[in-house]
Amino acid sequence: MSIRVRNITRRFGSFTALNDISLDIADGELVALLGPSGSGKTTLLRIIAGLDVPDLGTVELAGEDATGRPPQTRGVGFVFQHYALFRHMTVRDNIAFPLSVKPRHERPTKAAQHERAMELLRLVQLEGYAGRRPHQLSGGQRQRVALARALAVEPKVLLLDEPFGALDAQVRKELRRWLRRLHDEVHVTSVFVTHDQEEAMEVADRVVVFNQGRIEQVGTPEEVYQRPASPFVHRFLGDANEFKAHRDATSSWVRPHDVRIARYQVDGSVPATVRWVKAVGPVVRVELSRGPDHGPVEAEIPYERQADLRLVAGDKVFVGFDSVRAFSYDGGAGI
Amino acid sequence: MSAAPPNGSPLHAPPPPRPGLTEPAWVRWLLIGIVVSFLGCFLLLPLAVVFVSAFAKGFDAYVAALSDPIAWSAIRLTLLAAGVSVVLNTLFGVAAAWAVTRFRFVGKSLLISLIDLPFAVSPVISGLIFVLLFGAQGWAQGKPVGALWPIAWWALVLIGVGLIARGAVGLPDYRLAAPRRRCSWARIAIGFASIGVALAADRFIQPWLAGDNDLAVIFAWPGIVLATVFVTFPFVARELIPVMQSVGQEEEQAALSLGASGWTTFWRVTMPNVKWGLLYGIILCNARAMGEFGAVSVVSGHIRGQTNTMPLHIEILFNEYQFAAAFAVASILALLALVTLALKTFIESRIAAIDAANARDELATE
Repeated sequence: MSIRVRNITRRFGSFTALNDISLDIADGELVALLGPSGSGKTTLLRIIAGLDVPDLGTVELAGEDATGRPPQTRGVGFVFQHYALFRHMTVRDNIAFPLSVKPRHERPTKAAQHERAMELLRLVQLEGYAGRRPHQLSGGQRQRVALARALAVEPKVLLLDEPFGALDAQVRKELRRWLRRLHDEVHVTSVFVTHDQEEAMEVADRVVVFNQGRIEQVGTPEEVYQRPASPFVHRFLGDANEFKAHRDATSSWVRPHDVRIARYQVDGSVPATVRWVKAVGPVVRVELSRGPDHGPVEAEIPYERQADLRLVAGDKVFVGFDSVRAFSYDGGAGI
Repeated sequence: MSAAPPNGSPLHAPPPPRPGLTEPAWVRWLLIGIVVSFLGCFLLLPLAVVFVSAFAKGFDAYVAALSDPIAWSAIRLTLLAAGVSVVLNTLFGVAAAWAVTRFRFVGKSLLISLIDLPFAVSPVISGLIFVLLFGAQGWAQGKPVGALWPIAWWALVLIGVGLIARGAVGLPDYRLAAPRRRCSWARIAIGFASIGVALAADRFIQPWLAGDNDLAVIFAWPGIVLATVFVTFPFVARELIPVMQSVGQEEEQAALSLGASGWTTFWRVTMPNVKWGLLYGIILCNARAMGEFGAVSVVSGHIRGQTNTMPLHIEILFNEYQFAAAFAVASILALLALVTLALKTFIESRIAAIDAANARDELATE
């Protein structure tokens, strides 16, 4: 089911959570809403689900206006950040809940409900846990139960609010790959909220970058990373060096891995002094100084390169920049 | 990933106390001794005395005191007042807790303070309020239903008009592929019925009431029930509000997004999560309703066999030097207190177990 959001504004008192947002999501897409906390992404998700109501604007589901429709009738599965499993029910009853509350003439028999619950438990690889209570499961297992429960209604849209936010790093990585595979199997239109750029880039077909209640950029993971539309997107999707040019009111941005370090001067490179060097796994982080008139430069070079260069603090070197993006100060488009 | 101990494993034994971190043995024993002897003198001894005195004139006298028709009528009236209080205050408590924890509205903090009003004022004043409202010299001049009738009349008429209007405009039917408004004949019919009842009652019942057939409140059972309801209404709401706050709304929102109606969500998601808190409030409410003396005493009129509750009956027997009979009735109230205490302890242990499970939840989430 396609989702069409038109000119949505939502205020909480004097705080504007969403400011005139419009967004189109095609049928079967997997989209990430990415942004820092408080940027409005969760509010938009809740408005699509019908758990919150916009002050202005409309939400269309499958081409029909759904702005005033209650959440029960939207055909939406919602997965909460803290799972929101029913704590007094077993895992199986949790998953069967959406089936058991259907109107009498559509409601499957108890046996059919249980069978469907077991089917979904197999899908999320938790067959042996049907009789457990939520508090007897780990965080990752609970999140998978929550997902199975949301899928039990056969939703036309799956909405996930920071689905892996409360999990530790290892489980997170496993679960997001699993979510990607699941989406490739089930093909339900899915929108998930995250503040982790790596998660958004790895899982989503398209990324929507939020900042202060507005959409900064919409694009494929490659587009938003390689061609950021604003300094904010550039900064948010990875580390960046900023060089201000006061004369023409622009700022230039370079990612640390686009900084080249050499012992000898080549075309366009400038002299710098190494401040410190630190090996972090396969890469080596280097901070350099270009003198008192310039800010520090952060560089990231492969470990093999450091093996050749053998940089130590105090070395005089030359730095060059591979890919520079410039923005005018008013936040406008790149040059 | 999970720091929670496996189910059923014994808790870690506390390390042995170190010298310097705890008091010497003689201080501990002295403190324990003081507490135990204090409890013995002021709680256990009086309780024992109640039962001993109740049987002072033998078992037959005990049975006779309880099977006296006047005592029976007091027991029945107490049960009635307590029963009505528990039912009404449970409904009110759930509604109030729901409103306070789930909605934002103007005057919410005022409502929370008002809920505590019966705790703040003396029970005697609570009783006097009803005498001033419904007494022969009071606001309603002894005709409470007649005095309240215009309010009920307007309520019925307005509800009727509202139902007819909403029924005629209709509600969008979201189960249809393209939602459209459908006029509701059922609503219109109920609306007309409501107005009909108002008009008919005004025509027939109101004149009959005016002819000295109005309900007596003061010095009659309705006054006793009213006073008891008033005095006990904070208990359920007070217990429920913090429980509902700590449970939060996420599970309810999950249920709504999964297709459950508000009503289903309430019964299948909210209720199971707050049931122990609710039961706790109901038990406290019941205990207070059965034991209430002050407010009931003011509105009762002490008519034997008609408007005496158990506490009032005990006082009368005591004043008439019928000590064994007084203590016999008192022993029933004391027994009730013990049952309440046992239930309360059981529920508290259940709540503690649930809290522990939730704490494990938190640990596993981190």
